[in-house]
Parts: sequence; C-alpha cells; structure tokens
Amino acid sequence: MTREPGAGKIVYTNKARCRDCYRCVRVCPVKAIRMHDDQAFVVEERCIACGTCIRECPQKAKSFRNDVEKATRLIASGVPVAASIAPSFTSVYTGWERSRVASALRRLGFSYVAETAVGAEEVAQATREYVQRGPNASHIASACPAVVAWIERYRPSLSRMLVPVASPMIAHARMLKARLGAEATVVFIGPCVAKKAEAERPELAGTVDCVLTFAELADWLVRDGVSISACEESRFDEEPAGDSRTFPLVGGCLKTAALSSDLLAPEIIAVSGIGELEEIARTLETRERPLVIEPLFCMQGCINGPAIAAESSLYDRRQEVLAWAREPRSMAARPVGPTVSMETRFRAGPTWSDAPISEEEIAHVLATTGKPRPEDRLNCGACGYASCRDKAIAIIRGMAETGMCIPTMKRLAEQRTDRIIETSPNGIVILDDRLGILSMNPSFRKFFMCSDAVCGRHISYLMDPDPFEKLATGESEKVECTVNHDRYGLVAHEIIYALRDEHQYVGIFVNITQTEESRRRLDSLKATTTLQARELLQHQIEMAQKIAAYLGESTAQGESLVEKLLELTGAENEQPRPAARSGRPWGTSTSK
Amino acid sequence: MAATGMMIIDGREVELGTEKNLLELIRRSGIDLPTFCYHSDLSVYGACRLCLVSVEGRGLVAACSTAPEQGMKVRTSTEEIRDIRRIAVELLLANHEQSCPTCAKSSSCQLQGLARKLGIEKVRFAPSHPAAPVDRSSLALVRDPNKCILCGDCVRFCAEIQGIGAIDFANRGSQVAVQPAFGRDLASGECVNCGQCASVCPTGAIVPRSETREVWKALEDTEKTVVAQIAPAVRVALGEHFGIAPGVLTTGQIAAALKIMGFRQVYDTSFAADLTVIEEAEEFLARKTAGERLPLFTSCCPAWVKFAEHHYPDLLPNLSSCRSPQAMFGSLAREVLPARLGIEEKNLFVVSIMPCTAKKYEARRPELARGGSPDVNAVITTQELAAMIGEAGIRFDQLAPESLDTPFGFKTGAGVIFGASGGVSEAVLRYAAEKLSGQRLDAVDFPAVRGESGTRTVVVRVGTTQIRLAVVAGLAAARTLADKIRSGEESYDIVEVMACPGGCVGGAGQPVTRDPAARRARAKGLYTADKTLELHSSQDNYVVRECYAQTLGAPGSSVAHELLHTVYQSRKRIVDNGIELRGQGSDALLEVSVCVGTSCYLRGSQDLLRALISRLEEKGIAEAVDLKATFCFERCGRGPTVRVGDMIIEKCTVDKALAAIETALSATPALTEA
Repeated sequence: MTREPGAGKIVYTNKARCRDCYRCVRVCPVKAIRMHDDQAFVVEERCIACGTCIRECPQKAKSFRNDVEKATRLIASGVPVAASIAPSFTSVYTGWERSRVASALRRLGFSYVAETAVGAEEVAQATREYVQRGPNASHIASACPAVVAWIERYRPSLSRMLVPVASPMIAHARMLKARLGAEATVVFIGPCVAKKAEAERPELAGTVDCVLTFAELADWLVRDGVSISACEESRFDEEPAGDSRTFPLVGGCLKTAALSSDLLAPEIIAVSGIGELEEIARTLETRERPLVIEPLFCMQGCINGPAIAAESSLYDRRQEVLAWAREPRSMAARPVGPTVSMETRFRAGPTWSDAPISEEEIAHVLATTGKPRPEDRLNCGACGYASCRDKAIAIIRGMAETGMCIPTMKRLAEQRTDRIIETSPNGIVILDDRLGILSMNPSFRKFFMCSDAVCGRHISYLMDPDPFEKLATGESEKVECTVNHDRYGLVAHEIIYALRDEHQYVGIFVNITQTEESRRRLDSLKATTTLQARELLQHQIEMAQKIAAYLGESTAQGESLVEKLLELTGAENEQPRPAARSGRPWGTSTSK
Repeated sequence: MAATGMMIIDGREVELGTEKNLLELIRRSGIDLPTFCYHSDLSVYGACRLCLVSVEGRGLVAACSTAPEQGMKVRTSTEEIRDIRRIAVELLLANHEQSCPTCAKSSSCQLQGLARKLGIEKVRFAPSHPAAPVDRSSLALVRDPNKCILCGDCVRFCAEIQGIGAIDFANRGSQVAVQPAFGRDLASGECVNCGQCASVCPTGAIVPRSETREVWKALEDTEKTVVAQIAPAVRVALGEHFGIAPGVLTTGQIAAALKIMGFRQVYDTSFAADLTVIEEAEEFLARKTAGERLPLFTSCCPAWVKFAEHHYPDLLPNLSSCRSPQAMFGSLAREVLPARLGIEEKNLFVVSIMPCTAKKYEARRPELARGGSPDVNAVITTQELAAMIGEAGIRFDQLAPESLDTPFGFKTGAGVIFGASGGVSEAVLRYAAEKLSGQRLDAVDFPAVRGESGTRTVVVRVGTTQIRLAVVAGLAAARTLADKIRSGEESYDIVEVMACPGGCVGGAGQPVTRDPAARRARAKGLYTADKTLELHSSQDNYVVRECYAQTLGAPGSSVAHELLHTVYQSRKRIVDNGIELRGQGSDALLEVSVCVGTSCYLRGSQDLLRALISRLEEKGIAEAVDLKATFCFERCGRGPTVRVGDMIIEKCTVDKALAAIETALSATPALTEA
C-alpha cells in the first residue's frame, strides 16, 4: 500500500486499486481529494476523516489507518488497558453474540471493558446544563467529531455555537483514567474513522490511547483466533444507567439529555448526513432565532458509520440499538467513578491558507479546457466539483487535473473520430440489423449519388444486398469482394463486417474504378489480338486448303504454331462477369 | 537426564533423548507401537507383550521395559512380531465377551481398535472361561470381568496414583482375575468411585454407570420439570466428542443442546461453587481466628471425602463441613425452584452434568436428601451427555449458543476455576484476602496455586496474616500429605484435595484421552473463562447475595447450615453393624456394645460378654439393655473395651460394666421403667 508523503494520515488511497473514477471526489463533502496522475489522494489537512470515501469507493481503494498493532502493543506492555466500546456495537453483534462481546474483549487482553455510553450519559447531562444556561443562543451538540471538524474548517462562523462539552469517547476515557489510575490506557472501539482524528487533536492528546473501528476489532478477533461462540456470556464492567445507548441514533443525544425527542419540536432539530448539515448550516448562518441542533455526520447516525462492517440494513441496525437500550442493566456493573472535567474547546477557520486566485487565472483555465463561454460550461458535477468554475479553481490549486472533465473529453474524442470518417476517401455506410441505412459518410454519398434522405431505407434501395445478407444470416463474419456498380459507374473493392454487439453492419467501399478501367483496356487489346490471330488462322486454313496438295507439311506446322499462340492469350482472356439482368435497376458484376 | 547418541529404528537413525524406554522413543520416531499395559503415569508392567520389538543381538524384547542404548538396532515390525501380536490379541479376544456394538466402550475400545489394525478377521480359539457375573453394585461404575484383558492398568492406577488398591489381581495362572478384596463387590470395598480405573481401562471391563435412561425417562414425563446443573469442567471437554479442540468453551452450545432435549432450565454448578466459596471461606476464617481444626481440608471432591472417611477418620473434623457445589445446588434448588417455577417439589427433577463418576455416589448419600429422596435425581457424566446429544441427533458443533437461565446460571470466575486443581484454593483466597485485608482485591490471580503437579504448597500473605496452602491432586499424594500433617511434620491452613490428576478437568467422566496436553488445555479453558467474566470473586456474585438475603440468611447461619453443610462418618471399619444379642435395637434401650475383635478377644472379652449376659438376667434388667457384640473402638492396646451409652470403658471387667449400666439406667428413669 503506497501513500503519498504527507497526505492522508488517517484516510488514504491504495494506489494499486484506484481506478480513476472520481467517485471519491464526487462524494467527498469537503473536496479533500487531490487527483494526480489519474490517482486520488487524500489531502490530510483538508480531510475531516468522515470516511465517506471509504464507504463509497467501488474499488475499495480507500482505507483508514489500521491501529490493531498499536492496541496489541498497549496490551503487551503490561499496563491495564480498558476498552470503551460504542453503543452501536449492537448493530454489528446481534443476538447471542451481543452478550459475549465483553468476554471476547477480555480474551483479547483488555482488563476492563466498559460501554462508552457511560460517558455519553455525562455528556448529555453537561450538554443540557450548558444549553439551558444559554437559552438565547443557538447551540450545536458536539459529540460527532466529523461535524466538529467540518464546522471548524468549513463553516467557521458556526464554531462559536458548538457546545464546549467533550465527546462521549473523550469524556469516558477521562472517567476511566480517573477510576483506574493514571497508568491505565484506554482503547476506544467504534464505527467511526473521525474518532481516530479526534483522539489526535493536540488539546486532547493522551486521553484516548488508541482508536479502533468495529472492522479492526473483527480482524483482531480473527487474528487471535477468538471465536465469539466460544466465549462465556458476560456483562460489561460499566453500563450506563439512562438512555445513552441511543446516542448512535439520530436524536439519541437529545433524548438522553431529556431536551426533546419530539421530531417536530420547533426549536430542537436532529440532523444527519451532509445534505441536512449543509442545509442547517445555511439556516444557522442567517437566522436570528436560537436553535438547538443535534448533528451526526453520517446519514441516520453512527449506525451508518464508515467502519461498521455490518451487512444489515440501517433500519434493522436501529432496531438492534433500541433493543439493547431496553435491556436491563447488569447488577454487577460498577457505579459511576469520580467526576471529571467535561470541557473541551474548538477552533474556527481552516488550518491551511489558500493563495488568492484571480479571475484571469480562472478564465485562462476555463479557456484551455474548452469552456471559454458560459454556455460551454455544463456544470454537470461529473468531475466531483459543483461547477466548472469550482473545478477550474481546483486545477489552479493543484487539486484537480484538466483531464477530469468527462463531457469535454468525450467531445474531443468524438471530434477526432468524426474527422477521420468525414474525410475518408472511402465510402462508409452503417446499417441496422434489418439492413436499413443508419448513416454514411460524404464519400459514400458521392459514390452512390445519394443524400442523407436515404437513411432509414433498406440497402437494396442502393445496391445488391447480397453481401450484407450473408452477414445478417450469420453465414460469415466478414465479406470482402469487388463489385462493379454499373449504374453508378463505380467499381468498388468492398469490406463488409458485422458489429455483433451493436447489431449493426459496416460497409467500407474502396473506389477502384480507375484501376478497373485500365485493366479493361488491356483486356480489350488482348481480345483484339486474339481475334486477329483467329482471322489469320482462318485465312491460313483457307489458303492451306487451296494449296494443300502442295504444302501439306508446311500447313500442319503453321496450325500448331497458331494453336500455341491462342493458348498463350487465352489465360488472360477472362472478362468481368456481366451484371445479372433480372429486371432490377442496378447493374452490377462481382468478382472475388 | 537426556542420553546422547544415536540408535537405528527400522533402518532410520534416531537420536536418543529423554525417553526412559524404547517404547516412548519409538513412538517419538513416528511409529505407533501397540500396547495395552503401558501408561506413562504408571509403573512399567510389561504384561501385554504387544510392544515387542526385535533388537539386534538380543532378539525380541518388550519395548516398554527396555532402556534405549547407543548404537541399538531395532526392528519394530517383522513377520514374527506381527504374528506374535496377532496371536496375543486373538487369544485375548477368545475369552473377551464380544458384545462390541452394545458395549459402552465401543469405538473407543483399544482392543477393538488393535484387532482391526492388526488385521484379525477371525478368532481361531474357543473361549475357555465360563462367564463371570457383572458387578453392578457400585453407584458409579460397572465392572464386567468378562471384558478384562488383565493389563493391570486399573490396578496400578488405583494403587499408585490413588494409593487405595480397591482392586487387585487375585488367583494364579489361568484363573487370574482383577477384583476387589475377597472377591466382594465394588460397592462394599474401599473404592472411592473416582473412576480412574475406567478411564485407563483399554476395554469396557470397567465403565461409568450410565444414568441416561433415567434422564430420558424424566424428560419424557410430562409431570416432571427437569433442570440441569453443569459442572465447570464439562464445558471445556464436551466438545472433544464432536471434533472441537479440548479447552474450547461450549457453555452456550451445551445450554442450547439441553434445551432441545427438553430441559426446562439450565443452570451452572459454578453458581453453587460461588456459594461454596463463601461458606467454606467463612468456615476457614472462623477456624483460623480460633486457631482450631486446622488445616481445613476442602470437601468438594466426593472421592476424597470417602477416602478420608475410610483412611483418616481422625481428620474428618478438619474437613470443611460444606457440601460440595453439586450438593449445595441440589438442596438450594429444592428449596427455591418449586416456588419460582410454579411446580410441586416432588416434580422437580434435578440432573447434574459432571466430569466425575464419584458424584453419582455422592448424590445418593443419605445426608444429601430431603424426606428420603435425593436432592439430585440423576448424575450424568460428560461422556453420557455426549451420548445423549448423539442419540438426539443434535449437530453439536453447529449449535448457536444459548444463555444459561437465571438465577442459578450466574456465576463469577471463582466458581468456574473450581474445575481445575488449585481452583478451589484460589477462589477461597480471593474471598479470604479481601475479607482479611478489608480492601477490594484488584489483582485476583494467585498463579502459585495453579498447575498440574501432584502437590503444590504456597504461603500467601494477606496483611499481617499468613495463609499456608497445600494443593493436592491424586489421593496417593493426599495420603502422603495427610500422614505428614498427622505426624506434625508439616502444617497448613488450607489443604485442597482433588482425587483426579489435574482436578475435575481430568475426571473419569470426561472424554477419554491419552493426551496429557488435553487436560492442560481444559484447565486453560477454565482460566480463560474466569478472565473473560466480569466478576472474579464469589463475594461479588449478586445472585448469591440475593440468595442469602432471601433464603439463607448470613453465611454460616442455621439455615445455611441446614441446606449447605453436611456430616461425615468414619468408614474405617467396613462392616459397621454390630451383632444383635439382646433387645431389638430400639432407641428406647440403653446401648451396650462389647468389642469382640482379636485384641479384646485375647484379653477375655468373650468371657466378659457371657458373664455380663447372665448377670443382667440375674438382676432382671436385661430387657432394658440393647446388647451388641461389635468390632473395634480403636483402643486395642487397652482392651477389653465396652461401650455403655456414649461412654467407652477400657480394660473392662464385668463389675465395671454392670456398675456403668446401672448408673446409666438410674440416670435415665425412662429406661428403667421400660
């Protein structure tokens, strides 16, 4: 696996698999994908690690950093390692597996296994208190790290609305360390790639020691030969008291915080997915009246996280999470540990700076990509950019390549092919499967003295359809022949073949009338010579009869001589076949 | 010490190693020599002659009893050797009851396997022995002498590993047979039912007594509610019958299989083990504080309990009075479940699934019954459960796990490690350490008590207290240790005794394996289970706590004593009933016993007895006395011995006895009136 230096620390491209399809560019909500030499690279500073490209890449060419090694090293080091597992684990491990996940984690070497939902409980509480302290301002819950990163970098004006409460992962890790001692380490396991980035935020460094996804957990279990069916049923060391197991669902945070779980409550809105996020951001940027927003970056929430590694449908996953939330809590679970700080802080503005770009530069790029005029710009989005102008800017910034514009490339490609056909000295005709004329080039029109008006007519309208019929019946794949189209004064060498996939037939007509004409003259010369020879012979025979008595021997020798001469010319004497005369309008003769 | 050098086995050079005999070396070199009587844990016997090999310059020797030497040239399979092996097996088959398809050992029988392997198609010899009766007296084992091939494995295991010798060779020549002393049946001897004879027996001459019919019958009975308890060691071994590696936990699959077969509830003996830990640790701490009856011997292993009753009656007060987890479960189930399940107590049918044959005996002990019917109705071994699963046609390896039922399905890791030698000690330590220090124990593992070797001793310090532990597996090792304790040579606070090698994981009800690594893997599986459970100390088991709150009161309370504790009896004298001479053995009469054993007889007890009868009749009080001739009060040096009521009179005379009888009668007017 190759990574471009300095790019895609958490999300990166597997070069060998990337096939130049721009799907990642299209789906990337922040256009953090750089195309270079037809390969897609993730630009780390722009990437919010939402994992959309990982989920969407049809070639599975996008991966996230695998941290299983790191986790095993923590366990091997001998310090106590606690696992904090996100509540959406229930959408991966269902039925009898669910009650054995805690055991499986302990098998891997975790000395303490707890539900992140315990932290979420505290987060919800702190969020509610904060929101209630500021009823006149808009608030955005900050549990989702992809949303936080998106707002910080791409909607910086909304940063001040983020509730300054740590995410459940961070809050729970703080709680675990307060309970288990400073030397204890915490591994978070969830459906989310952005959590890997969140754990590495400088102000949170050292809180969570390693972030794994459910996909990595599954690999680890396989690698260590841990079969969940051979694990004892057991419970977690910590389980939440309230509703926080619903955190991975849209509205789960609001429900746990008892803010409102009414989907139609006017001032409290739960949103998920980039579309809804962009919409609510637009609203917040312009709106005066305060709103409370619970945003989750993935559509339908964490149960649709990019690393969830489940086959089930989103709605089934939702049911599983709700079922787990209703389960009675373990009587063995430990009570909540010492209180910890719930604080966190956010940035505003991108971490990189873009050089200003002049309109001239943009215009220049647009011109070189064949779109000088506004009407040339399709703004189709096939390249991944919303408009041709956006893409031109991306080209200037080194994020995109000129060759990414599919309509332009298509037009260019078509133009090249068309020129060849249009200028060819050979006549070219294309027929449909019923031998109707589809199209033809100028040479063909000239040869057969017709216009586009014959399109749709059967080929027999113009010529003997016999060679095409041979193709249509499947008798042969390709017919090559020389045909004398008397009617058009044309002798053509013809190559006719089938496009089986398209159910079409192509005829190429090479004009050899000139060549045929000179041959005919030679033939006529030969014919004249032969005729004269025959006349000479006849004459000699007559003479011989007259003088037979005298010159018997000499005559016989002469006859033999003439016969030899005839033999010599006879081989060259074959005439082009006369065209069939069967009442049909076209007179042609064919020779192979 | 490893020998150095090379030898040649079947033309191939083989390096000498640590092997003490040719048999092991040849097996290491990749050739599976057949044998019946060689067992790596036991002494070398050299009786079956199947491991014969040809050594250049020496001729045919038994590989098991020949030491490897530098330069030795060995051939393991010549025409002659093959002939001898074939004839040996043919002769064994001639007198072997050939009921193979119906034999419990069928398909795992070594005789059957070897006959097939050696290509024996026909037995050319007629049987020479008349059929002997099958001994079905034991509650744990069935002994069929007609299947015995006299390899002596059982005899040596019983004598060497268990230090008992409940069976031995009797008679000479062609009449040789393996049997209990005096040709009596197994039940009346000092057999402790550990069943290891059955697990080493290469044929079906000794097999665990099957109770699967009773269980199927109960499952069919619509009146009955059948519940199961699963012992810890079963979950790491049952899978071996179905191609699953030893040590792989199959608790969930066992629960699923039992539910399919019709068990209403499936519980865990480990739950009762948690209860045992609390009761036993409390008992220990009380004794430790008082400094009395130490060491405390554990009482979970029924084979050890019976062994102690036979051989160490003086140490019986030191045995924990706690019932075994199986028995605690049985009695608690009878107390709690009828109401919980909404059934009548008589319709509750408790099945134990155990790695052990001695549990079959234990379940029938009269102390462990209420109203005359046993708390546990049937005990099946791991092997029997496998047979039932097979009979039901269940594809065990493909079952999706199911949950154990509440409340008795909930356990801590302490209850699970009971199945491995050292587990009970560790579980008790986890309780005692917390209790003594008053602090929560974070590091719950005591690796020092884990292991396989026969005897392990360890000193654990908890605060200012020092706990000296000894862990023993195998009753011969227990005997050695008990002797040292009795003589004062060694002293301990807790002694854990398990009769089987490696503890319950090596029980005789487990799948039969010749691979010692399998036993280790099973133990490892139990420790893995402990590690993966959320709780590791019995005191944290909240269901147990709930049980105390609702049913038992406090640990050691009177209810707890009634339901969870038991009493032991000396079995030193095998025939314990005296010979009734006078009276009806009625409770109303004063009991007077005169020892007529050898030592007392030589000191005139016979005359004393005769004189006593006539004097009692003279005085007209004969009817008030229940007079018995008995054996031994263990005071042989000071005989003749007479017991009047509870009082034992040494160097007794007729006058002394009469005086004591008259005193006793006058002290209890009711007796005089009678």
